Amino acid sequence: MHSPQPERWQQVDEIIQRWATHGRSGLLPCLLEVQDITGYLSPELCAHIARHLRVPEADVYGLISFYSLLYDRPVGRVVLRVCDDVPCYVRGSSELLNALQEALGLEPNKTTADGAITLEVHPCLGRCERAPFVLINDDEIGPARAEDVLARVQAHLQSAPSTLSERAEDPAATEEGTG
Amino acid sequence: MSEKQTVTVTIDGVQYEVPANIPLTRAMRKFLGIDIPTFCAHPRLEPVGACRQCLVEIETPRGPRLTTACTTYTTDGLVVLYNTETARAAREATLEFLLTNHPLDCPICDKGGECPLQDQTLRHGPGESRFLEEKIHKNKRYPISDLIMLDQERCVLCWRCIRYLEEWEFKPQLGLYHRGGETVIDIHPDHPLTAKTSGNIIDICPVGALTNRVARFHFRPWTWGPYPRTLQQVPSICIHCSQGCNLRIDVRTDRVRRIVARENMAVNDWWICDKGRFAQGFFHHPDRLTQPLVRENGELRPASWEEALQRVVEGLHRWAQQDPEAVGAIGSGKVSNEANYLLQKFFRLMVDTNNIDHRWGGDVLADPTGMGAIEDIYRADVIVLLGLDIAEEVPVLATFFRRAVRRNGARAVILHPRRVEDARFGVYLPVWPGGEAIWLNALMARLVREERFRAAARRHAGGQAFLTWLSDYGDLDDLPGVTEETMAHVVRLLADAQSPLVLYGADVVRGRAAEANAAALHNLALLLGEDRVVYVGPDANSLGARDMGVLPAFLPGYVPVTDEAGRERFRRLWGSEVPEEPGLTYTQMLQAAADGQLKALFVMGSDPAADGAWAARALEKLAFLVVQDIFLTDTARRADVVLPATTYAETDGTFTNMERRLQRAPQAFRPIGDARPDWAILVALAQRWPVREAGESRRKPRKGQRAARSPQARWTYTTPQDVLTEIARVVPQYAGLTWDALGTSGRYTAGEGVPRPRGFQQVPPAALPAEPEYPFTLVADRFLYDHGTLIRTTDRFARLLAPPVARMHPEDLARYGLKPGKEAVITSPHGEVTLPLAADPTVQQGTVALAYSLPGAPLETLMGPEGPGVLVNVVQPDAR
Amino acid sequence: MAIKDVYQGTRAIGRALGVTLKHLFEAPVTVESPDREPIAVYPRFRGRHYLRRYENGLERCIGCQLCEAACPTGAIYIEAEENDPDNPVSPGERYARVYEINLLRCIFCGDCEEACPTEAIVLGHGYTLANYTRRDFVLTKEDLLNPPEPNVVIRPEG
Repeated sequence: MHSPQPERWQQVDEIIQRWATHGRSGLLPCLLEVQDITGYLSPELCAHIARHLRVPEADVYGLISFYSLLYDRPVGRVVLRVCDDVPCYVRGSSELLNALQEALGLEPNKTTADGAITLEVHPCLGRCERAPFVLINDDEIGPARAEDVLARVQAHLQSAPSTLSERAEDPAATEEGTG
Repeated sequence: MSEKQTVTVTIDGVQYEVPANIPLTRAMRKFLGIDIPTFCAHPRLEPVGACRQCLVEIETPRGPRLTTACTTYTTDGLVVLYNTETARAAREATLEFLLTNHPLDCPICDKGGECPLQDQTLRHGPGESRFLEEKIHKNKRYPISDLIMLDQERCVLCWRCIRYLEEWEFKPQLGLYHRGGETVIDIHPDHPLTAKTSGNIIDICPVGALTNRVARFHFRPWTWGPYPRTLQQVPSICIHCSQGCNLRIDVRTDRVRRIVARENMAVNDWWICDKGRFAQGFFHHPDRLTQPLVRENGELRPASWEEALQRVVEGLHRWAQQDPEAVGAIGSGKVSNEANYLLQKFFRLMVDTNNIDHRWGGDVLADPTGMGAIEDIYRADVIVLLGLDIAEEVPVLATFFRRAVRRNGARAVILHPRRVEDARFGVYLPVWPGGEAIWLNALMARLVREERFRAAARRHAGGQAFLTWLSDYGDLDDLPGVTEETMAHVVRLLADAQSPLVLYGADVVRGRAAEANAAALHNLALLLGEDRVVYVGPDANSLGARDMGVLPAFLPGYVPVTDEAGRERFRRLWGSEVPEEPGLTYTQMLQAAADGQLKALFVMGSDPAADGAWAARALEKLAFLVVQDIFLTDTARRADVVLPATTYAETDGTFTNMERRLQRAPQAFRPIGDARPDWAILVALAQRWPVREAGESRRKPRKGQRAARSPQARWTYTTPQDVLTEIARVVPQYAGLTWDALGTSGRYTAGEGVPRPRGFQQVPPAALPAEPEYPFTLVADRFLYDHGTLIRTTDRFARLLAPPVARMHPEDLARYGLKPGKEAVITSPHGEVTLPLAADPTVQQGTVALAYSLPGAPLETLMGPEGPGVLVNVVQPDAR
Repeated sequence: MAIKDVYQGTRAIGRALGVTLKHLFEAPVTVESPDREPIAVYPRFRGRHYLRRYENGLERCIGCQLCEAACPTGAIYIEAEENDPDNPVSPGERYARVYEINLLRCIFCGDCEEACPTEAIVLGHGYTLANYTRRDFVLTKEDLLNPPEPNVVIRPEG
């Protein structure tokens, strides 16, 4: 039933078990932790989490759609978030974005075909003093220049661990729910 | 805090006494008549404070603060500033804000005219718009189920629909998605709403975001009033199940436009189910019968009313004179009290027979005591559902049941041959059809170990003997799936319960195990309390048809036909002799027809041919069959005369629901075509019945009695109200219940004289049958969306109807090498059907589940006249 | 005195006769209908109704029934229906399946025109409304949708 990397699915299950007793208030941390491992939250996974935390599936989806850091579809191993709020815009975020688009050959909010890089236009990231600001996974760059960003992306591509999102199989798809 | 306690609140400097601890919006609206605007606040939903429309200033130690009134509860000394500059400006701003993205498509919006957003904008709004920008575009015309359309642009995000599904249905199938101005209400992908009462979210939506897909665009709420072609709003009731929910039928140009819920806190709260709301296709379906049909040279041909009525009278009269016992009549739990009363009166007096019954009538050995009150379900601390799939059979009661469990902390025990949907609300025990008495006896054997129940038992006749008898029935061996532990748990629950409530369905007290089960339920009622064990009939007028004496052994008001004093009373009231031998039940009549003993049958609002192949064959043998119905049913196709009747909405009538409440269903539109109301047809028949000559009566008047007058003399009814007046005089339980007295919310009928348990009965239950030839037990399932004519005729239900499959447990399928999705031949001693199989883990191992009323009546064919608990075999031809 | 009276009388009669004589040689004001059509009417004349379409052929009427509600004599009868998205009758979700105006009841007040949110129903200049049977006085949607001047656009966006 479990995957080529059973220990990682086990991690997911452990996280869910840990938050299961918290119900609704455990939902957000649970989703964040699970996403760290799986890369994104598939519908099966959402149903699985909803069952174990005893929250409506609608709530899970609602939360994912509300928070832009939660994904319900696969994203790249490296996620580039370019802030486009006012201070960053004034300091040239649109030029930066254009440069990155050109260099990566990506439309905003799209992922490369090999699933490596996702480029996102993001509302304020809260680092206005370092505008224009870019977030690469958890890595902060600002004030950012296109070449710095691209170099850092390359570094991340080397080191970023692959996530479970690249596999089709998923625990909830085969496992009978116990809830 | 008690509800009656009041507190003093100050609103704009004026002091008011209001009930304590209720939301301020409710206090202002209901008790003080202040028109405070709200969207999210709803009297039957928990406050959430989502729309910010009810902002008022509340005095705090730090000065007045803007607060939502709906989430502020009344407390003593609360100081509210409602009509101040700040509060008014805040409310106006909220409205303006809501309107920034609200589309101005009121002319095509079904809510227009009864829209809180329109009304409140008019009363509290800014008057003109300052916005020129493009509005945010979201999904319009977005179906969230086959029955409900969502328009996300119109939504004001009040959460009422979300909360209804959470707080009443306990099925949170709608959620809020995204953020800020782009927030939308949505289902999650590919999961359309399945809640059986989902339509209520249309009623409570304060804007036109949720609309009725069946009625869409066929009405305009604002065209009301006593003018031609306006929307007439007729307060009526629902006739789909025995709860008798109150609803309103909106009619324009003699066509039903839509059906909405009508508030009656005692019956249905504010809600109705989706069948009651959306199944409106049958009223004006093109297949409705609009003229009488008579059989000529083997074919049915249209005829005049006069010709058809003469044919009926001649046919019935001929057989009545030869042998009244060869004539029978079948009434219906789906038609009004008036029609049922006249039917039995006609056949008892004119034809002189007691062969009068209805489906789920004399064959169902239930006590029609009814629920003390539907609200009792909220007061119960343990609720036992025995053979009742509450979500499918009485969906609105199911929401009450869930609330009782989740909110009032009631414990639930669900006994059903299948793990029904509501099993998740309590302890589930699989009890196979026919095994109910075994389980009940085992339960009682354990219950009476408590002194409280022993004492209760001794208070009734036969108690001591019963206790001794019961000690032999503690065995659980015959109950597959029931363990000693679960049993002990249920016993504990019932032993500790202050007000337990047992609801059971018709199939429990029907068929082979009926007597044992009925006796066990009697005994349980004596232990738990008489009104604690309640029969929930399958039809809207299941109790009414019984009250009206559409039973072979009882006259109206449950006077046994064998009771001489009772008959004498009816002889005086009706002016004619009443036959004294009990007649045949529904099933017995069909069997007698098959044997050739019953020659003539009159069927009103019922379709015995849908009771399976055996019943259809029996009907073929009849010499004379009359069917009075709204559609050309399978039975009507076999009839010699077909009389076109009307639906309940085309004439006045009354129905008696499961709590013995008599409710009015007034005429909403004129009969279509040449159709006539049931009661009027029966009156017309009676008036044409040949006058009986003095001395011709089969029964001689007894000494000291005058020969009864010809019975026709009394058939002078011109309106259904005349019939109801007679019912109120004749049936003791209905005394004083005139049409006007009922009002729009109905009145309880009296419970006196209704058969109820007296003294313990000792009926040993038969062991569950086992035959190697037939390894499976047949389980009869009731679906709300069955294939009956009342729902099939609404196209929107096409994809929601019960799937015509036989459902089995996946492991059974695997063990017997059966393939789901493939057709299988299912055989029973009564017949053979071919149906695809489906895997369904809710079906217990060793059983095959089939729904009632599937096309071709496979379940009914397999059950035959025997009723529930039939054994079957399943074979897949290609698997062999 | 008498001479003056005679003179004045003759003059008055002559003047009156003059008017008569003058008009004897002028074209008549009355028009022989229906032989001498069309007769010019004022632009705001309110005659027979028309239902208009958009330039792409879609009907303007959305079946909202506001004209029906506005009609003081109850001359209009509408049944609305949902558009088939693939084959719409009008833009949007709703259209009028039935639209009837009973000319025997209509008083040509123009309230329907006023009430219409899409300027679908307009009162035209047609005044030859005579007919032979009562039923023919009820204009159906087919009658109303075929104006002599199709696609008159009053405002670009209704």
